[in-house]
Amino acid sequence: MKPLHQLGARRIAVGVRAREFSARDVTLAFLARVRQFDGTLRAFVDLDDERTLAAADQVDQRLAEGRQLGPLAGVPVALKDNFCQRGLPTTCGSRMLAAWHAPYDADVVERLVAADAVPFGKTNMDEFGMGSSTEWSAFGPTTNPWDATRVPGGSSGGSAAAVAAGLVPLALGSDTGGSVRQPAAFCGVFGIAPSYGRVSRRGLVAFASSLDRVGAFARQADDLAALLRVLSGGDARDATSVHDAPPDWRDDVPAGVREVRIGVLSIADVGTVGSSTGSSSTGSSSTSGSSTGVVPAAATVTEKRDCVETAVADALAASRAALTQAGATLRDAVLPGAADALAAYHLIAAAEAASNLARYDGVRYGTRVAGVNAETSARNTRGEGFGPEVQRRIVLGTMALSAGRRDALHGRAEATRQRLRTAFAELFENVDVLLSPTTPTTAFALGTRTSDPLRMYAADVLTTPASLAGLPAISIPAGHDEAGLPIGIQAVAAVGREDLLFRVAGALERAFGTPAIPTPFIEAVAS
Amino acid sequence: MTDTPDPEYRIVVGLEVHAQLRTRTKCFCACAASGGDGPNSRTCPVCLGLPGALPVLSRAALDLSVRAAVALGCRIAQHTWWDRKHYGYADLPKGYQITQHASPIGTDGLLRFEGGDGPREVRIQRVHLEEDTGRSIHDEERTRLAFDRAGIALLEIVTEPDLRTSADVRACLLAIRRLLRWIGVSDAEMEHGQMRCEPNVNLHIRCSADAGTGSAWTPTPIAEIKNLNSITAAARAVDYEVARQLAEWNATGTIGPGPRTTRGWSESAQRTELQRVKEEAADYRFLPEPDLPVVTCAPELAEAARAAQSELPDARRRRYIDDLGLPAEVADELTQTLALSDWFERAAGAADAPRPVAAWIVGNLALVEAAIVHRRFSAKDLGKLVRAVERGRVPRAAARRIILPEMARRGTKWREIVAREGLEMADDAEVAAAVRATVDAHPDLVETARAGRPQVLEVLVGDVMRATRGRADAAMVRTLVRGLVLGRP
Amino acid sequence: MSARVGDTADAADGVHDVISLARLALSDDVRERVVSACRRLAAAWQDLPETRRGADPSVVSNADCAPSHPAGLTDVLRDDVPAPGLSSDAALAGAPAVDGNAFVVARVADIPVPGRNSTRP
Repeated sequence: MKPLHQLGARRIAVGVRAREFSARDVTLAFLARVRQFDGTLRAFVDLDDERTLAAADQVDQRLAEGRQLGPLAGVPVALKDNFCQRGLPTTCGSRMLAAWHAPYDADVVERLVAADAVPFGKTNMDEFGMGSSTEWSAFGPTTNPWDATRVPGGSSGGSAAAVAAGLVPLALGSDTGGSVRQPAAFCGVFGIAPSYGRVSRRGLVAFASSLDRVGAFARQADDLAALLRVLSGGDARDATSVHDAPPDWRDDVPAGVREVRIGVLSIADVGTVGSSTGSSSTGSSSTSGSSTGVVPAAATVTEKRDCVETAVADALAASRAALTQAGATLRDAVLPGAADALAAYHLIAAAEAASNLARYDGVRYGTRVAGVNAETSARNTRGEGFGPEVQRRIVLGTMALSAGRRDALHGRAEATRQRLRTAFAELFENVDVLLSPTTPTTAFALGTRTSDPLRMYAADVLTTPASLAGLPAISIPAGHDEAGLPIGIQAVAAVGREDLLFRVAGALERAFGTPAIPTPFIEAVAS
Repeated sequence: MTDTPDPEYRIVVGLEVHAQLRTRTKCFCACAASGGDGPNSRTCPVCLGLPGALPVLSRAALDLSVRAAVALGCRIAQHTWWDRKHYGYADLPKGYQITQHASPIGTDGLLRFEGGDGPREVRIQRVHLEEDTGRSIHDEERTRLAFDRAGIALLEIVTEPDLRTSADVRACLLAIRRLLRWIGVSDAEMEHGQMRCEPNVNLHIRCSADAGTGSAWTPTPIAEIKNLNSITAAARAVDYEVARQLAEWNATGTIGPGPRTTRGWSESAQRTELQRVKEEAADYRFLPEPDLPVVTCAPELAEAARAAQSELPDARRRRYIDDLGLPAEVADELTQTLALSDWFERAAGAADAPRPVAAWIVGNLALVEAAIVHRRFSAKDLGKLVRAVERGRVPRAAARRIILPEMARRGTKWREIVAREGLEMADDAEVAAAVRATVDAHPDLVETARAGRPQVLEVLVGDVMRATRGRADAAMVRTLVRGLVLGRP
Repeated sequence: MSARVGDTADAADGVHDVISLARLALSDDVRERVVSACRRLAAAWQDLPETRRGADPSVVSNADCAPSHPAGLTDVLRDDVPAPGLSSDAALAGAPAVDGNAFVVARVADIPVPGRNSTRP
């Protein structure tokens, strides 16, 4: 048998149920992995051996009592540190909540425990989910398991890196504008953002409520399907959760893509906004990137490095070929309005973030910085407790809602979202799935984008359209670039059609192979 | 201040009323809306604004709000949703209040009520549902906070500035309170904080047509008055504010439209005090609440509310006056609560005589209200008793002094009391015998009467009434006594 | 017609007001960095379609911003049945400062105290 840490989640559950090995054995194996590798990776911000083993022992106890174990029996599942678990710190990567212990469980934590999974620590993230690199964590960055000088993506970078490096078989993330899909692509694992409302947000600390989705990571498509099924279902305490019974998507993974109509997004349709020079986006001409093989993007692109890289474009072509081979119908597709998605996304997300983060005033919980009166104390608390990216988004979001600017900023962004939803609805009359790269580039180097918010935000250009429309979207590993960095391909379907995503994911997994645990990283740490 | 005469002016007042809805839980979470054991004993992640907690709207809160909007004659929103209203204050848990800004449940309503000297109308601008904040207790150094009230469902009613006197302000507030209780949406006890009101007061002063504006009426800056803990205080505060604004006008002669101010009513000083000046409208950065899906069922709920709605108090009051011929004060009294009014109607039906029943109820209000609460006797019981009195079968005085108090105290049926105490009216023979006996017993008074002072016979009438324990008709006794003594009626 | 954001000195001042609205006490250099970033972002993003496609910006009203659920959920209501929440101990457990069963903050300076100037910013 392979070492335990190389087994998939479903295989682990089978083994635990069959008493091939205990939940404690499994947890010990992964704890050992974390001890060995997380000093370099820094994926976890909180992982208590004793508590985690106690949870595993409870699973073994239930088995010993002859109880029927759930679908994730004994499977460790890491939680991004913005999920509340009773009695545990929930920092959201922020000094503001550095010492806060949640007094209640998130809906997904209840569901994981009910499925006999073992909650396995909290993972690093960009502060309150705001970022695309996990560099905006107050507790330092996580590194990419394929190259420790690169970012793992974000904001769920800790979860993506931990799964990719084999430190945990499954992990939860949250996806607001791509925060699961983008790090999944950068780390070379499967990552899904299900339909908005499919999974309850209760106990997920809010960033932008109309966009936030609980998402999940796995190294195999069928494991991801099993995990998502456990997480899904209506919650009476989340008014936006959908009460449809989730289908068993595990059956979709091997089902194939015959007769599935797949549209491949014309990359020219999705621009990126702004540039490091800060020049206005209007009217600037496109820069042809043909000399470096870059697909020419929309008129708003001013620098070739913000465009889709050759290797990524090649991976998309390879995916297209593989899916055609598997019997799907492939065609080109356009998504009108996609070029505006990034701006609309950032304005809406910032506005809702400014609102959701208004509660952090140091009165009832969290960090408090003193002041001569309550108001001064609140201002000092927010001035010192939030990091620079969060403060920037709060100010931008406050501006987007403020008198005199609201119609021009938030109002137009919402109108753009409505148009985009209509465009998707029309698109899905003709195709079942929209295929594109997950990100224009592979993982970028640590420290290269933190000084330029617009370049950082450009990493989200392909993920934000599905976010605005609340559509299920998955990032599927599709090979590597010449530097060995993983590439992700994104599939998007209509609301409620995660089944199509798992069919495509299964087909591409068969074509590209199940992602391996990165050997260069392992060797580097081991040596 | 000079002693120039006051200029011609009119008072302009609009009201903002907040009423706590009669729900068991808070508006957006399942915490109990009342009870609890000391500060911060009724909170949860939602109403404390903890990270990750989400609101879910109470069906009862929505239903009661729609019922109120219907009773206030509002148009009901096809699509209604909630908005986040952002401002910073230590007792506001989330940094925003969940309220309704763009899509109030009800708009364009009308409330008819009896003003100081006649019928009045006030237009209702909007009716919406929102959550309450926590409570702050300030001392010199610190502010202590409790969040038990945070999240409680509040109905906000905003009137147009249609009120012109403090008497009308008072009457309008009484009418709103009566209506909210009548339809069962709020207990509206101001002293328990279940109803709060904030009048917006200013004056329109007649001045020589201003060359700049061309308007002959100049408005004074609007003052919003807070801290009112009774309807009486609201009326007094309006009076005070009118006098204050007028004095300021007289002193300066120049105040025109200026910034709105917030003034607090000081009960001890009986005056309003400046709290803050709103240089411009506060920037609340309204955001449609993304955690609460849109509500489209309000029209449906409204239809059900209309079907179930009983006659409203003002209409009922008019009917009592116009159709039943009740005096206005009696009609007022009987329409204070739906329970009393319905009780009256049942009693009036049983008696087949609304006016005497109304008089009996209003004349014995404390007894009747206690009876309603404690179910000592029914409306039908009272109605039948009144009918017996009206038909001369039970002595009126006995009914009032003996029968009704015992009904109220012990719940005894009036017929039992009558039978036990022998309170049926005396027959003619018994009365005649009593008259004869009394006259025979007082030859001295008979003498005096016959000597030209017949008024002394009233003593004999009184004796006969006592002898019959009130069971005789006093007029008939008087006739019999005079006939016997004087030989003429 | 609302002012263009980010391209005038007036708008820059506006950003400073926004920082105050957002209740952030920032050091001068942090403040300047935030202001310049927000001006850039707002400038980059003010050209969403209404202007680009020549539509009347005034048609965007709040009604267009009614929350709309991707799956079309409406009328999600809860029965009026109380459920236990947090004990007062649990409610106060995360508080930076308490007094008995109450949360405590430095005095809220809204209400004037005789002999003391308001310290409200």
